Amino acid sequence: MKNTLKSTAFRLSLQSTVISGASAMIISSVIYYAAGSAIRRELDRTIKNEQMEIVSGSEGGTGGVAQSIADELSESNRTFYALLSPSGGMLAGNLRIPPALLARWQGYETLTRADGLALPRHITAIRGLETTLEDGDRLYVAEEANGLLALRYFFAHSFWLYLTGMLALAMAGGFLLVRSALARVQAIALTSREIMAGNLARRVAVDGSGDEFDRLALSLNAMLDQIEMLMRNIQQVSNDISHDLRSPLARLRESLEISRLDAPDDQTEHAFDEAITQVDHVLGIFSAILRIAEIESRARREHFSEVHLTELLRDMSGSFKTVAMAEGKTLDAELEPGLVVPGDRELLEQMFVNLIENAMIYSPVGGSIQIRARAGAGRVEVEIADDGPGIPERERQRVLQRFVRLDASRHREGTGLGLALVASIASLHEATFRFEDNAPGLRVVLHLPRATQLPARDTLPDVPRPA
Amino acid sequence: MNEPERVRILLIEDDDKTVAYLRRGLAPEGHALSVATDGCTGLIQAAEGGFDLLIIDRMLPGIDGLALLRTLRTGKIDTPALFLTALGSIDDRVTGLRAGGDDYLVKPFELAELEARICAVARRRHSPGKSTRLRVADLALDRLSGEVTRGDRVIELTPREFHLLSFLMLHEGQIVPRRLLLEKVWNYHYETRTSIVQTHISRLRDKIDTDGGRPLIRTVKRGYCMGLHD
Repeated sequence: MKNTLKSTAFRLSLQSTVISGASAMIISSVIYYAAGSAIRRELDRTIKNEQMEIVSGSEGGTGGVAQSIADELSESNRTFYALLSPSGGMLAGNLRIPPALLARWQGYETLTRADGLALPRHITAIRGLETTLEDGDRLYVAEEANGLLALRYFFAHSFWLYLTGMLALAMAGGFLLVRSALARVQAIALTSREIMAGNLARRVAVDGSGDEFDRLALSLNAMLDQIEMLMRNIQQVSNDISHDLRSPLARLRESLEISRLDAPDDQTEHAFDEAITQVDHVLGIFSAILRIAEIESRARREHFSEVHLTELLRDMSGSFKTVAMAEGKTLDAELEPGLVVPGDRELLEQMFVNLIENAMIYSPVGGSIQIRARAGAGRVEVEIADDGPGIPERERQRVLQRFVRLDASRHREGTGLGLALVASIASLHEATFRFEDNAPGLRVVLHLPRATQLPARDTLPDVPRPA
Repeated sequence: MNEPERVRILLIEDDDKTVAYLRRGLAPEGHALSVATDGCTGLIQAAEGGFDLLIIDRMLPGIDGLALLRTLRTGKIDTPALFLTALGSIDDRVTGLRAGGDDYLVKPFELAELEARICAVARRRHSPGKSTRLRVADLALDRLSGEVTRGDRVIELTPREFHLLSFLMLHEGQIVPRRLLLEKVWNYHYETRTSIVQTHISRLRDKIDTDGGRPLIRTVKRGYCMGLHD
């Protein structure tokens, strides 16, 4: 609810409701005044004619006027007359005017029963004109004016009901309209979130209507194309550099190794070894960059086969258990038998080696590393957890980028490409992975798509096993 | 048994710097090195025979390395072949081995690594993989039954340790670089950051180099050497 109140959809529909309400009120007022004055003008002209007829049609004098009134009364029951002497006595007519009204009546007046008039049933209001004749008598001529009262009544009562109903409709309708428009904004937001999560190939949907959203989508897509191109350029540059520098570095390494053969003493030989180690480190970085580029080209997908993940992990955890023991740590593996995923065995192995080695490197002496694999709905879940320092939540996305190293690992040897490699291998396998807090430590959770289940095999495939 | 094998090598490589590197690097081992600098010459020389090992660069002028080896293999010439390449992609390695290559080295490589591979090929020539019993001093390993003994003592090994030990014993007297062990025993074609090889070697030593027998696994620069040492 709070979200709805804060949403643009709600705000916009409220604004439109207020605006349409206000304009409805302005238009109604104009109509009210225009219609009222038109009716009044018409009535006033009729009344004036009536009055002229009586005054000019009589032979003059009180008697003549009274006679004319009597004649007119016989013709119409919607017209009212009163002829009063200067002292206020009723001389002729059918309209009894209470003294209070008499005192204030001047010119045209619109009157109802509320003014103390006794009106016939079918008449709710009258409009009349007061004239003082030459002989001092006062003549009152009035016409039925139900229309004027109805108009006023409408604006005083029914109008509010109509207005409220209309505003409610405007509000609801506006909300629905705006929300459906904003659904596209929402879609754009979702897409951009996906792109930020690393799926650079995603684009905002365009429905071809050519409306504002379509144009927004088109320019966003153009911008994304640009960004993707720039990213590709950067990667291409780093790939090219790696590729081009490999040969001279290889050459350098060869020279160093040849020179080492002729080293006159241990000290010189040691210096050569040191230099070779440094060259190897740089070459390692370049190899990793080129490996990532190879993976990202997705060509390896053509070589996918069924990989027995359980065996791969059992085999691997066996090896690393030995390393863990030597380092005073423990490594436990809990592997569901028979897990098979489609993939590239070598790359999957490299990914898990990377993750397990990370866990090994960052867990303290006496710490423990846990490897767990189990089947889920249509997928395989692998967890690798350690009790080291972990990765702060705000850094978890960043560490997947190339060359990003957290301060905690800066003093350790490494290329800053390990997790970038893991991320690219995971993406090649359409696997998702996330970092969780192992409290303390880091837990990497991987979800791999699952291949059709094969019967569990308990033998190690590529290590000859003594009988 | 510890005598270095003299291996007749045909190097098919157009890059004269690499040729010079190998000439200089392999000289101390006493191998006979012939060189062909383009694919066609290499193909003719290799077809004429008389070599124990071909070292072929993947990228050659004329006929490229892959096509060259395929041609040789089609012509039933099965001289062991080792590919050299500047590229290190997985695809590259796999296609190289599929074309009939016995081994594969990515430039730059360590001389010790090349030497270990050359010796492996040479050994295969003398005892072409058929011998099931390996023996180094009083350490014996039966590749068929999986039994390992030192003197009279039976040694229990894990599958991985067994694999590691048999690889070392096959390369008796040679320097086996750590990287080669990672590749051949673990099938990891990349550097690891933990001491996976060292730890396994040290466990293996605990099992075989005890009971006062002379130590058989010696640590050398970047690798290990199996055999009796003075």
